Amino acid sequence: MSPVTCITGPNGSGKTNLLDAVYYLCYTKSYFSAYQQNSVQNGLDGFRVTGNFNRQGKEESISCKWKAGKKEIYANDVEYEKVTDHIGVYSAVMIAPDDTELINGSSELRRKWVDSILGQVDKTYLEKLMHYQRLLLQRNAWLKNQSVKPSADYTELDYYNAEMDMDAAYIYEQRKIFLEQFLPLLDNFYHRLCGGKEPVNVVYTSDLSQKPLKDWLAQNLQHDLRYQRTLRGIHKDDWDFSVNNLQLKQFGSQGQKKSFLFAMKLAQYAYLSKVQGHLPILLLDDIFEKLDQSRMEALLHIINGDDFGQVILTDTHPERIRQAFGTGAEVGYIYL
Amino acid sequence: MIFSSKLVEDAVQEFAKLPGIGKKTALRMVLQLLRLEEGEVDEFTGAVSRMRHGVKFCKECHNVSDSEVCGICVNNGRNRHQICVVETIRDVIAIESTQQYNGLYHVLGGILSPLDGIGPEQLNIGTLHNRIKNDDATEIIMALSPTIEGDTTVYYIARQLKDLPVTITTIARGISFGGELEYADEMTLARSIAKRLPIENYVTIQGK
Ligand SMILES: [Zn+2]
Repeated sequence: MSPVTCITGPNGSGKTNLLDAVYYLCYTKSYFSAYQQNSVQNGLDGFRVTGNFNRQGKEESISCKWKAGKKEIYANDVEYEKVTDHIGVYSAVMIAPDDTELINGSSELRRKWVDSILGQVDKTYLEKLMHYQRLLLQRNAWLKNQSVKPSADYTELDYYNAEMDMDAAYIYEQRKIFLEQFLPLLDNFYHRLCGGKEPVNVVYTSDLSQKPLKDWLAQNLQHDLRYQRTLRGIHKDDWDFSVNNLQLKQFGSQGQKKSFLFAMKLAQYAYLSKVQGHLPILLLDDIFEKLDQSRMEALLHIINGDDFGQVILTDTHPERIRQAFGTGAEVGYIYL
Repeated sequence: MIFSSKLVEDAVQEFAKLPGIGKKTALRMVLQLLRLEEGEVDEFTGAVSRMRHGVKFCKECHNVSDSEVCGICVNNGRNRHQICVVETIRDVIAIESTQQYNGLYHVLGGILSPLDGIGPEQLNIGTLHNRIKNDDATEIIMALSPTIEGDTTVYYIARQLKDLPVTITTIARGISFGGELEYADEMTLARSIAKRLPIENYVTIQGK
């Protein structure tokens, strides 16, 4: 049985913040707030998070400082040269109540989700993605400047196109391979959570499945100039989720969406542990009150298995957790 | 910050315009100037004023200079076959202090970044072309930041020069991804210049 820690206390006592702090030390960003500034208490100009991790029997203290817009990461008081060097050393998977946005929300959320997984297992992916995104910004700015002050000199555009094409080809390929490995894991967890045999599927849609980005960019230039932005590319990719051959976003029930989401997160966990060779920390934010009895039991059965490691969860009712895990289980409690 | 003197306030405002100087530091500087004799302050402001009025930009390489052509460009002891292309005057100072380079320079005045509104016409690229056509340069060393903007500029210049009989090299990438040339220490910079590479190792130039 793996260690389980339950953070408990009344609403507003900061349970989720503590959970997020663990996530923060793994990825140097908050799971919940998109803007770093939100992590700073009003009136202060920075913050610091420190935590002790245990990796392969060795204790390591990880510290993240954020001051006046600059982020610094330390391992045992030694600063990382690049923040990205820390990404992937420790990993965590969070499941939180609002995560159904991943199914219901815009494609940007799904790209961010896939990028967060591939970015931590593949440094090249992360670098190419950052490179592509910066090129995209410059290309869009170039298109915008053209509308204000047209120039016949397209040399910069040639460069942006060629570089973006190389980055996009790699990212497209990796996203494709990822789905092939991810889909069986998702299918497995979905049916372990809610039984049944209804087929689940994910289809990756990308402009690049038709032709290379350089062809899109060359052929679409007039459109791009008119809209003053780059209309085609891997920044438009999306993933279609379906259950029983019906699109989940539009036709799925609340129950199906919830099961699908949990299966996605568990599959993410399984994927990361397989590729990285160590078990991530599973972070569960207030999910037990949202689950019915059968799904809760199925989830507990899964996370108590050998394929899962440390679990940290939050709940307002420690009793519920005590009951759920059974009297024999060793659960540590943190009262806030 | 509330001042009892408009004169002090104006002076603080001016100091606070400098990079890295906040209101508090600006006030400290102004108070220090208040402690000096009037003549000493005149010397201080005079030097600043004379610098701005008197400084020239070398008509060859666009480096700062006290005369039409800078001390590096008129120096006959320097290798006139090499021109090192840099972003700013700060880079000239950084490379000069390595004492490992004896060629000439060309200061672009920035790098290509549509996001910042900097296009080719804002940079000293045309004069570089003329210099190479009319002078003795046989090697152009690109010493620009290893960023997308630096890389775009290297590509742009290489395309502009592709019909001229010069070899284009880039400084070795001892400097980390996203790093600024200015922050590289002298050793790294010296090594980067010594171990420069032909541009083909670096970007593909269309039509070459
Ligand atoms: Zn000069």
